[in-house]
Amino acid sequence: MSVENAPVVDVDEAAIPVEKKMYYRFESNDKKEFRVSELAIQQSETLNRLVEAMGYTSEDVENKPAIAIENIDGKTLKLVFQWCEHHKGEAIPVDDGSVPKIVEIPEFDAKLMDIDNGLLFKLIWAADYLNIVQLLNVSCKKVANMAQGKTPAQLRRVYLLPSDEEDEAAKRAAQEAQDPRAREVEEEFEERKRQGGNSFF
Amino acid sequence: MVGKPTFPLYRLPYVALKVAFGCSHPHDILRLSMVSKKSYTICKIFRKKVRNLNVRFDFLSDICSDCMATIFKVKSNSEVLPEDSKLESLKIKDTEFNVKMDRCIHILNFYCDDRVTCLTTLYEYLTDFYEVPFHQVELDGDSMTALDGVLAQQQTLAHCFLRCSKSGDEEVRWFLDRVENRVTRLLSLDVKTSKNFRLNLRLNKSIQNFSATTTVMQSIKTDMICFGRSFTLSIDNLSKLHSRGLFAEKTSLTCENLNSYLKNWQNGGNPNLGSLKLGLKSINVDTVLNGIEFNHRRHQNDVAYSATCWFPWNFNESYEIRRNDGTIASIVMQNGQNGEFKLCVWPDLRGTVYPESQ
Repeated sequence: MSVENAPVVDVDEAAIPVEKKMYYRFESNDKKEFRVSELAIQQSETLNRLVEAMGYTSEDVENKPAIAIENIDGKTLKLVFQWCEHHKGEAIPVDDGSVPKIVEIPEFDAKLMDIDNGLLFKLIWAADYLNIVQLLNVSCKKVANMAQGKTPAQLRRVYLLPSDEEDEAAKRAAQEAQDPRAREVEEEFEERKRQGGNSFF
Repeated sequence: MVGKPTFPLYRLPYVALKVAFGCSHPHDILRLSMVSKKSYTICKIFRKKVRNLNVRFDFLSDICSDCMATIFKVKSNSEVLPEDSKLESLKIKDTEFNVKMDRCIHILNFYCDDRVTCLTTLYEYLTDFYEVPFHQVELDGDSMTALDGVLAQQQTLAHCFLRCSKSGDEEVRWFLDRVENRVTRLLSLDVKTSKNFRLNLRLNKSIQNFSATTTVMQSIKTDMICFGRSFTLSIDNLSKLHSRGLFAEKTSLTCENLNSYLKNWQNGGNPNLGSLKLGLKSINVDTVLNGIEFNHRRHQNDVAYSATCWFPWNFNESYEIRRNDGTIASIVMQNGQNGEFKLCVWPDLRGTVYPESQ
């Protein structure tokens, strides 16, 4: 996709200081391109360090290829950058140690996260990968809120948690898949036990 | 929101999972731990610490955490309402219980035929999950035996309450025999006993394992014994108690008894005593203070004396007496029927010294 056709994230230019008015171009793993303000990038510790290390000039930003973000698709990255643009200039929160962690979900964030849980999972994954602290906080808070007022059985369904029996079965299957020899040894051991042997060796 | 109402929580990366647990209500994490063994292990890693866990085996039948926030309520199967037909089954330590969320979103209700067994199971679960001893246990006549289970799990107990609607010398003896010197901070008895009932207490004087909720509480290094309205404290029983705080709503004490008790205290008896509050049928100030040197004090401002960590005792008139080692105490009482006698030894529980200037 060309730069001209890239889905540009809305930017409030008045809020951006003149000297910071530089837009970086990023490309998702499905080749969608985004232009993101330098100030918005600061919400992501990972991207901020990356662009600092690259030391791009305004010309470089336009002329060089978009920075590829291999692990994140366009749909998710769009949400990430929308969030970053909306919260640009805000201080990165520091963990104050409160228990439980006090996290308010602002209206904008709530609307942004009014998405299916599959996409929410990807958004959290992206926030974690790109180290966007507050986006990680609000998205995880949304996940935590799913537990409110639910019995253990309801929690099992909501969070897709296997039962003990399912965990055991999965563990056995994984062991068998990884090491066929282990199964043979186990069977041999059981056979020797049946024959009355005291020791395997 | 559109799409599936499910979320693969444990597939989140570690940092995100940690944040999600960090944002969760402690009771939500606890219920999540009950889903499976694997979930239990994960939740135990991320759970929040609790300072106090209290179990009420009496009619309240619940378990509370810090600030008396109820975690579980245990109800009888007979309390199941028609609209509760969809109770869910929950297995804890090989025992199945029917459960349902309470109207309050953080409380899980358990329905069973044997409340004490259910509470004991939950008590054991929580002790293991939070790895802290229970702070307070409240019992009644029907649930007293649950104390054995509690004391099998932990060496000491900070607070222990026993309330019995029926009279029972045997129950009190059984109870005191069990708690012996294992209740460190507050022992509360509200059981009707016979006139000739005699206490045989061996409470520890030095406190070692007591948990504290505030910095102020940490400075408390003594016991308190509280007798409810059902228990009639005799002078014989009072003289056997050597706790820092003694409180009895109802006593058979006479003013002459009190007079002797005070003289004994002045001469060095019961040096550990900090505060004493007794209910008497009638009080005659002259008889109580007969032969005791005192100063009648009227305070310009109310004096606040902290006998416990809860509400202070406020008074503006007192009788100041001194022990042979110079320790000052304020006696607060009024002539009349159904009187209340208070002895406030200074400094108080919070370290406040005697306000002599007032």
